[in-house]
Amino acid sequence: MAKISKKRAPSWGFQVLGAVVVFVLVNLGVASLSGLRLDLTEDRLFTLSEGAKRVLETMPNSVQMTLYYSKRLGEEVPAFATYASRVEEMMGELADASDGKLSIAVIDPEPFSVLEDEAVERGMQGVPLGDAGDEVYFGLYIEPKGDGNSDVDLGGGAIPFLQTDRASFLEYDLTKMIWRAAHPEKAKVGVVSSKEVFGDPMAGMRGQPANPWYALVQAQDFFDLSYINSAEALIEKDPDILLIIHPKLPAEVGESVGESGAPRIGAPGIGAPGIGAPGIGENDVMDENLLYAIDQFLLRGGRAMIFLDPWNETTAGIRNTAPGVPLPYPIASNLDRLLNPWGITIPSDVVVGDRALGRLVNAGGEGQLISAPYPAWVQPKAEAMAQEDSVTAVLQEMLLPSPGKILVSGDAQVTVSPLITSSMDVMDLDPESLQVPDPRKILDIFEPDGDARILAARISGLVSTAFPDGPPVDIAVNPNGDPDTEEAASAQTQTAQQGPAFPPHIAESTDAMNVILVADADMLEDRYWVTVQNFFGQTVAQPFLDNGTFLVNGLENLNGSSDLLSLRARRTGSRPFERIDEIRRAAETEFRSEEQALQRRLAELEAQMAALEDPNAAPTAGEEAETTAAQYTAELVQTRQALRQVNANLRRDIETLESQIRLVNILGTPSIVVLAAILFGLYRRRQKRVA
Amino acid sequence: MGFLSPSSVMTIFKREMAGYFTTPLAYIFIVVFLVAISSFTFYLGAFFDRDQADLQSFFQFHPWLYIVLIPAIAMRLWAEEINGGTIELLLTLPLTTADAVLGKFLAAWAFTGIALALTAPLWITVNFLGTPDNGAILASYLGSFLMAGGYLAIGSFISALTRNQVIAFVISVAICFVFTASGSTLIAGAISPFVGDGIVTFIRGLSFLENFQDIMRGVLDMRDVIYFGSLIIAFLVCTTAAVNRIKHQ
Repeated sequence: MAKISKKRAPSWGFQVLGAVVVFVLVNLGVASLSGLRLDLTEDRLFTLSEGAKRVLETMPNSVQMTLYYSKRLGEEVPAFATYASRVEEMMGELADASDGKLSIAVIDPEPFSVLEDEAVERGMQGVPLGDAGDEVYFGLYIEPKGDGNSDVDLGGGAIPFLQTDRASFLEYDLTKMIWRAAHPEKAKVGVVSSKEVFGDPMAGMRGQPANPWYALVQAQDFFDLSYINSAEALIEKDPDILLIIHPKLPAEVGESVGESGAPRIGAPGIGAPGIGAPGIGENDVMDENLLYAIDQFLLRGGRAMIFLDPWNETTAGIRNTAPGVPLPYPIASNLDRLLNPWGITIPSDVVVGDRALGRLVNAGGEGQLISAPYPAWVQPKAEAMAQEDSVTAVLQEMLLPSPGKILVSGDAQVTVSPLITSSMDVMDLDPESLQVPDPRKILDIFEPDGDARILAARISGLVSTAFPDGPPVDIAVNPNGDPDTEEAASAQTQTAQQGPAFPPHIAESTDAMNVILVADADMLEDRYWVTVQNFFGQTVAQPFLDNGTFLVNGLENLNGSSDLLSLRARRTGSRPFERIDEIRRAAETEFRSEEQALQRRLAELEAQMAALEDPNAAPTAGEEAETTAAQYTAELVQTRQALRQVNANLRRDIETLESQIRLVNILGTPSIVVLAAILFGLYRRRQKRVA
Repeated sequence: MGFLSPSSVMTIFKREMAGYFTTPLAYIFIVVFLVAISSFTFYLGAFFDRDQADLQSFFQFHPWLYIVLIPAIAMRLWAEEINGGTIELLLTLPLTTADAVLGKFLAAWAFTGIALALTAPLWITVNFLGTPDNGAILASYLGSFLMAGGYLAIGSFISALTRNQVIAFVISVAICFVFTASGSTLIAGAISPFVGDGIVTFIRGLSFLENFQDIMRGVLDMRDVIYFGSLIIAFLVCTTAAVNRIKHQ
């Protein structure tokens, strides 16, 4: 009997309403709770790396990031729809991590609208899609917020079109963009070099363009370059990054080097505006003080890109053409004093010879054209370059003329990540044997040892100073070579007092350094990677290799917080059907060889047919000719048919597999269930009968 | 509304589960579900064309398939009992309404779980063809299971409101559809001229699709879990109220 319920239980309608209201309220309340999520993906695709989070948290300024994305692009090409939602999502995650300093917006620029004009102005690259020719956009724009200053150079940045092949670096690219927008000042790069990287300073006087190295001209768009040839200059200019290219040390190995003759005059040449030129009357030898200053710079978490060379082609070339004349630059450069304490060395008596990656040159004699690889000129392609490092990941091909090898000792304290590696078809070459380049001679004696060499690497970590006794003290050598006289002593003190104003000496790194070390300096010279022409003062350049891009990427990469440097490529999340790919590849190999055989036969047949009809050939008896012709035609038809069959077979294996899979999945389990149902039913019926 | 006694819930649960496997309906449902979802995956979901070792082409159809199939299970939860008169018998047993509601719900949910588990060959297939992100797939299965619970809870409520199973089915389908599609551009586009952006976003947030999307990609966001959880609880409460109404009639 139902109790007569006198409880003040509300009617069922109210209960229902109440439940709904509570549900809505709970969800409203929770809606703003972002960040409480469990990323179960294997690659943690939806979690920002620690480095990115820190960059966002420590942003000093506010920035505004806008994604210009035409939905039509995603509708036509689904791959872009996926990528676009990934980009939007990451923008959201970055904004969440920035604590309000990053604002985001997504705009779909309609054709011929004001928004489209704005997009174009901001550097977005429109791509025509479909017949109408309307352009679609998929780019990012960023600028510092609120100061009304829309100077694009100062912190404003853009990715004109987001390429899907850069997808694994999305987090890095976006974080980098944000970082730059929040730190709008151009970074300062101090250049140390024995070579005239800024061009011929005397050219201005002759009314000719100075022709600075184009790699530096490119870098100038992003950095504030200045020339450093002394410790004082380094202290004064206080660069963020050092770029060291083939430095000249006081005690040289091998070649005797003269000091450069005429004093340098600090006038920028025509066609090279803005690049800082060397000072007056300075000696470009890297003295102890400068070496010490560099050492201390690196110990303070410094960044540097260092190009050293065991065999500088251009200098060697000068020696060839003008023997006996003192060389303006050294043939070999090394920084053993700094590198060895890190556990790194670049042997100065080794040039890496790589036959598989050797640049193809004409090795023929007079009038002959024989193409052969010149092992001393290593031309690494994308596979030889680190794919997870943002500096090298998108590079296609570079040329390193006569590079050295980077050796890492077993107890090195630093972390070494190779950026460019040779193939295994390598051996060490004697630099002197390259004085007169002879590809065939080298190929004749080539014996690879299978040990891939490191040609360029990223070196990072905490190190000890190369100057354990503190800053170098100049000892004024008096004329009779005796430093013990009072005169000498006071001169010594005087020099010490007039020495560079070094910051306090540190013996161990206070912060991890990050260095990109390259065992070749020739690669930056124009002739090896770009053609530069001067049209009435305008520099027109056509790069044919990525050497210059490598330099800019490297400097770009080093310019940034260490958090930024920790960002690496993330997996894109693309996981193709490997088994089907395998089958396809296997089928293709089989197909290719069969196809080639058939094609050859076809060509042979056709040639023979042509020969038959050739009026100049020896005439064959009429009947014989006819039968042969008929035979050939029949075989021709057969061969063509065979080719078509092979083509069809290519897909056959894959299609069979696909059908089988479909069958198993659609009918397999259901059949088992039906079977189980029938069996169970029969079993129960038997039970009932028994009972 | 009474408190829950686990042992009572278990009793009902077991009774219901036994009931499922002794009727042909359950097997028919499972077969239909498996055939439908696999067919959709291969023929509508461009499984091979996408060339991706994931189960996106599989999971994307779950919400839509659930809209039609789950009310079919739910409709017999209560309507049948009401119609057949067995409900009075049920409610005189020494257990609370809440026990009965929860027990029946859990049995139906477990049954759906079994149907879902039987799609495992597809998971195996995708591991055979490539290297899928199994973490993401696991998350998707959990999300789908949770979502199925949501649909079931709605169906259970509607089913307790009427004695006619067909009506229960049709209305459940309609409401499930609204809950699913409220995130789609169709509905949002229809409402947005009348209400502000905030409301549109809110309504979108109340949709099954929105909350399932993230889970499908491998992320278990607290908000999505709370959404489904609160939905299930709310509708079970409603169901209990509806059943009590019958009790006191």
